[in-house]
Amino acid sequence: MRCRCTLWKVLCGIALLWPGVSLADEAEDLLSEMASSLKSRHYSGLVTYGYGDQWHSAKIQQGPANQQMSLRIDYLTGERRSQIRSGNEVVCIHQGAHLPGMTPDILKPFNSYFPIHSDTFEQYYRVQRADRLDQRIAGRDSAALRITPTTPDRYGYRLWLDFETALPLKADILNSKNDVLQRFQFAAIDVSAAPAPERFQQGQTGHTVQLHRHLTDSEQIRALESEWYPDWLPLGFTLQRYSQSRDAQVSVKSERMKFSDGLASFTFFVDAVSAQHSGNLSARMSRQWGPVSATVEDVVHSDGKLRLTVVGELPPATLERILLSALPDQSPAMTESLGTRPILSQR
Amino acid sequence: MKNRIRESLSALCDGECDELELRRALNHVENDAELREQWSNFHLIGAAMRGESIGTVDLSRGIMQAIDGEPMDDVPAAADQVSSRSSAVAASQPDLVQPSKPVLPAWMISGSVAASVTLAVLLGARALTSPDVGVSGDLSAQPVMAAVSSEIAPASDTASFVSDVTVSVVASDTTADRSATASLSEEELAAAQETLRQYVLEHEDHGFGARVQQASPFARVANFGQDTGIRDRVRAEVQQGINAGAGAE
Repeated sequence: MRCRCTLWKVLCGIALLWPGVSLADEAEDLLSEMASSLKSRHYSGLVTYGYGDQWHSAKIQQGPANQQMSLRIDYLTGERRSQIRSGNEVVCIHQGAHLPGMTPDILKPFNSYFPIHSDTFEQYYRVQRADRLDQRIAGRDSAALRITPTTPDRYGYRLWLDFETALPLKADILNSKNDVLQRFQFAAIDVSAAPAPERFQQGQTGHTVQLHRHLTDSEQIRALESEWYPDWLPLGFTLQRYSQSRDAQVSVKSERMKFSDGLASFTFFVDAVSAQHSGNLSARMSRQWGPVSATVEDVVHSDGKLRLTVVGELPPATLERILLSALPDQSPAMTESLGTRPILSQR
Repeated sequence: MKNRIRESLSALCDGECDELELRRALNHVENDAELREQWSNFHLIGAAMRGESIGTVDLSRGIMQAIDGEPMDDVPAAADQVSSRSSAVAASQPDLVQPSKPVLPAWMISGSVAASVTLAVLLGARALTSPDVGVSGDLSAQPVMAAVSSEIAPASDTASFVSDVTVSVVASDTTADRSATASLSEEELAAAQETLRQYVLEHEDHGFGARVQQASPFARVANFGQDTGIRDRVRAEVQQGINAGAGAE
């Protein structure tokens, strides 16, 4: 009798847990399918994107060209401009000089670089199917997913994938209170016919933006040797890119380090700055635009006055912690700069 | 008796109890672990219902101190989390920190209890409030500058993601008078905003995605550092500084 009861309890437990397990599996399968579709499927659609009262629209087309899948984005608001990506090459088409941020990656982070499988992904994000949020988007049925961070130092996501193709039709970036910080959403999408290959040919006005496929070993070594390499990083963030430039004539040192956990990313900037420019102030300032935050602080160093800036799709407090962890704690020059500020002892 | 106290606590959480009830309830809370837990739970439930982030700020001690007329600067839980700005001000004005006895007459203390309780609750709510709510406005709009003074406590793993956002800029002079504060002029503020904006755009320009622990694709502007103008600008600024220094000599 006791044996029967135990068996009954086990069966009940399995029955109760099964839907949860199967939903989690379904969510991960959908995510993998999305990553695959983003690399291989052709489509053409109109997408809106932005946050707050800043909304823009663009036409996105993906199709085969020159024996590889290419993506073209025509930005429909603001200055006329386009971007074409084929393999490792990114070409921007516009009049005048290339200005930073003029050709944003609208679908980021759910673009063709999205990781299909990552052994460590589940350590810092929980992926769940949210079937109650399923909705019709761009005339198509979609399946909703939640991607929740396991630590409060980064943002979460909501994602709606096309039932038929698993292409992302809508995505939200959410803070801990579930406020939407940024959204993209397709207004229309056609997955039936591939765009003409001519659409992915750059015009004469296009200029190439190079892609760094790999973080080289030398970059990695130089980054780790940098005295500004942050001693604290949120779990799962790894170095993706490093660059350093130094002008011997004016002793200007400039460093950039880019880190990502596969969804969110941040860049750490180190630049020389003249004392005249910033007066005699050394303030730490933060600002936030949708999901993107920036924290900047000027410090005095043996090389002169330096400006440390951290920018990324992370909460301001996380960026501040990263910035603090990058400050060397033993330098006499820094001691003068920092005054009585306590330095993170645990790094 | 305990049920009555629980009712009082519940009423207190809802802001619906009088001063006598408040004092009695808090006296019991101080001496009874179970009631303390209950008090904490009421706040957690309230925070969850309001959709606020859940922290572990203990307001009862702050409220008791308010009733007893002690300065709010002594509230450890709140002071720990309400961060840098208030602590920086306190540090620069030590006289404000430590009166051991109430300096106001009893009637005035009694009269200010309600206001003090409100202040304590506000401080707690402020400590529980994360700054990263949805932000609207464009990059060129007048921003809310979050200036954090130079005495930020190291963040811990458990309750670290709270920061104090203010609309003023608190800056310390690092070369002459460390305790001095100054506000940025409009030009300096505009320059600082523009600098931040450039960095944000540069970050986004290189944000073409990444793979975790794999070969990571990165977009890089071919003439990195020149397209954004940052390097040229920095070089010009440094040159300006050198020229100015030479001129002064």
